[in-house]
Amino acid sequence: MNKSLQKHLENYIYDTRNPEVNFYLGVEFEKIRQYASSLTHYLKCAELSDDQLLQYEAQLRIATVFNKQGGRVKSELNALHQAIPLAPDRPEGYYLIADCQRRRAFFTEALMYTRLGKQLPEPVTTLRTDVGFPKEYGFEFEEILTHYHRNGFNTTRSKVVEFLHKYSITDYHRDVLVKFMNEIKLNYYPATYYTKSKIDKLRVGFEGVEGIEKNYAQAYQDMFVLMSLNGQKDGIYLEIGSGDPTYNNNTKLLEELGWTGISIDLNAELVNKFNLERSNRALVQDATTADYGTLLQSTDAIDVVDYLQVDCEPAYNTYQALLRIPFTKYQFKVITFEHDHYTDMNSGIRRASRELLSKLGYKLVVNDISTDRNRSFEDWWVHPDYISEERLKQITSITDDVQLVDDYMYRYL
Amino acid sequence: MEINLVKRVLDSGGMIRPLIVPSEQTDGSGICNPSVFIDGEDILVNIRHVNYDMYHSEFNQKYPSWYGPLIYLHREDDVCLRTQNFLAKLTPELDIERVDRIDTSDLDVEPIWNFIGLEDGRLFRWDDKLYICGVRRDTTDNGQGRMEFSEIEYVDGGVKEISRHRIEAPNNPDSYCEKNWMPILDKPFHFIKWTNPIEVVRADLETLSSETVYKSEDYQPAQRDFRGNSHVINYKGNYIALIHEVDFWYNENERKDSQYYNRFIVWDKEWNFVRASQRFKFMDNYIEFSCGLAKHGDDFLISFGAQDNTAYILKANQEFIESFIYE
Repeated sequence: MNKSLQKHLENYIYDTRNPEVNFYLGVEFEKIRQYASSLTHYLKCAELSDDQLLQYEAQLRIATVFNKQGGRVKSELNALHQAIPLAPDRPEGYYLIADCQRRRAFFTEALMYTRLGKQLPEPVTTLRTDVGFPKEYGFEFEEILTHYHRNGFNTTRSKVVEFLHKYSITDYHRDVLVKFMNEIKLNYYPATYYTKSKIDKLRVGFEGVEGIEKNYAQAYQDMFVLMSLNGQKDGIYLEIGSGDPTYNNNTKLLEELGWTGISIDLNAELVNKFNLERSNRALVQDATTADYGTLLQSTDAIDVVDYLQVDCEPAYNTYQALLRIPFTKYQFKVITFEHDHYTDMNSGIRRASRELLSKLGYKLVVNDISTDRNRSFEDWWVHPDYISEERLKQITSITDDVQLVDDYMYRYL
Repeated sequence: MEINLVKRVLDSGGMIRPLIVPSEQTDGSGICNPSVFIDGEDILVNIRHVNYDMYHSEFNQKYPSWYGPLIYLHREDDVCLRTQNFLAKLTPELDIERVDRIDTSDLDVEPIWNFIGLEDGRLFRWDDKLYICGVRRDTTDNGQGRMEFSEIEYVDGGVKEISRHRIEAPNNPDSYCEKNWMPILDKPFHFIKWTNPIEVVRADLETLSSETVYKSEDYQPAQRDFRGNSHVINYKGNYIALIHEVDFWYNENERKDSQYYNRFIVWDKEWNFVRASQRFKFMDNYIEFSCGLAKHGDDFLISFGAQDNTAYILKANQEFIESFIYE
């Protein structure tokens, strides 16, 4: 017997027209996903109550149970339309209706409700229950998602990346973002970062590691470069697809350690941001047509470059960029190549890149890196001429499966 | 009229339990019209799941839906009314010990009407076979409803429908919809088809036909029709059953609304009307519907649905029910 449900049921039986009693019986049914039952009692609550705030919350809960059930958007909107006039100075209703409109791809409406809700002051009173409004970031979240549809591709990625760094978000919001990013072909994987507290667990230590407070790359690529090169300072990099200059950036940490190099990205806004925030330079260039020989001539590299990042979208473009690298003139000590195999399993990009780099004498040391165990998106390579045998052995991990990057980077018991 | 029978039942030492079917099997939509039956030592209940939520704006109707005060909210991409049935076994404390979806797949055919499945099945055992008997409307292209016997069994860790019999209406083969026939538990294959005046019919599973075996002329003056609800059970030399009455009306915006009321009815062994209780609501809902009445020791078990969204089982001691009927 569900004692809590039974208690609230008996409360109801002895006071069937008490709005609050109905509300909490609705909550009990909702907890066990008996949504139709909860609807009965939330609706009774709204009908019976004289308290506008309680009616408002009951209508929000009605909208929530329709949303949880799925396929009842018209009814969900009806409940939200009934809720908002009851408390037009509260943000929850605007957020939930923006969320609903965005889910049904009515982006203009979603943005309208987002803007209406965003301008409201924080309410003085709190609601009885969590109606699913993340007050820290709810409206910002909705703005990002509608941003793409109104303003296009170029600035969306940086907004998402910034958002993810700024807030700790719920699984629901993370799932929505991941789905959204994949839908619009902005490959997104959850990020995972190094902090100094993890120093003792690092797979392989390197010189100067104790001076590193945190890294920036999305999947420890910067730490992998330093691990492979024993903490080399003053290295040189070529970064193809630099993205945001800080968040999830593979060369920011290297720059802090004295590295120089050249970065390119197709996104002019991000490149502009890069050049404002970073010491090293970035250029707006199409990775599939760029002249990498000329670019490398602008660095201090003579014939050896310490790190090459190749990360474009989609994977086909990343491979096209790889084909344009002047491997005959330059050798690269460490290469991270984003093949996005999980989105591109039939295209053969991963296989082709492996064949090419192997033929050129590079050694695959970590295959199929993933940040979630499911999505293999990158391979990590080194040139064996520049890595000691002992270190090569320490950093190598070749498996038949996807490798969770945290499992690779750290020694867990 | 009593608007809260359950409160009085609890005050007299009774109990109530919600009947829950896990939402993984229902998407959380309506659970309703349960039918309780005592099968030897077991307390069994057939529970109907419908693929809609009933939205019913009661009282002052401040918050009607986009359509009106009373609407069946299906998924917006599925306008069919789909019913599936679950067989639950209860503990003596009326908690669910197990609940199984009744697997009808061996006998299902492609539906040709959009009310799909066996609706409002009453559960009973006749000739040592466990049946649910309700109305099915998906076998003709005009939704004609006929009572169907669905024989079920516990097999292979689940519950399966093993035979299905569709029974023609007596007297009028063109009748549109036969439903809510009330099984007379101690008279196998007999049902009360009409309650006022009473008409008893017998179903024949071999010929798939039915015939009227008793028809009274004794009409009890009443404001509304008495419509069939529960089983008809033998109690102290009489028969007792639950019936329902319905008010349908259109509100000021010409949208449909309704209220249901319940009554106990008592007949003697010759089907003479003995007594009708006052009208009552179980728990102060506009719509409540009971498909089950059983005698269990010194108690009655009554299973009912509230607003088509929730199913309950109620245990009431017989002294209370008797006194209520004669209030």
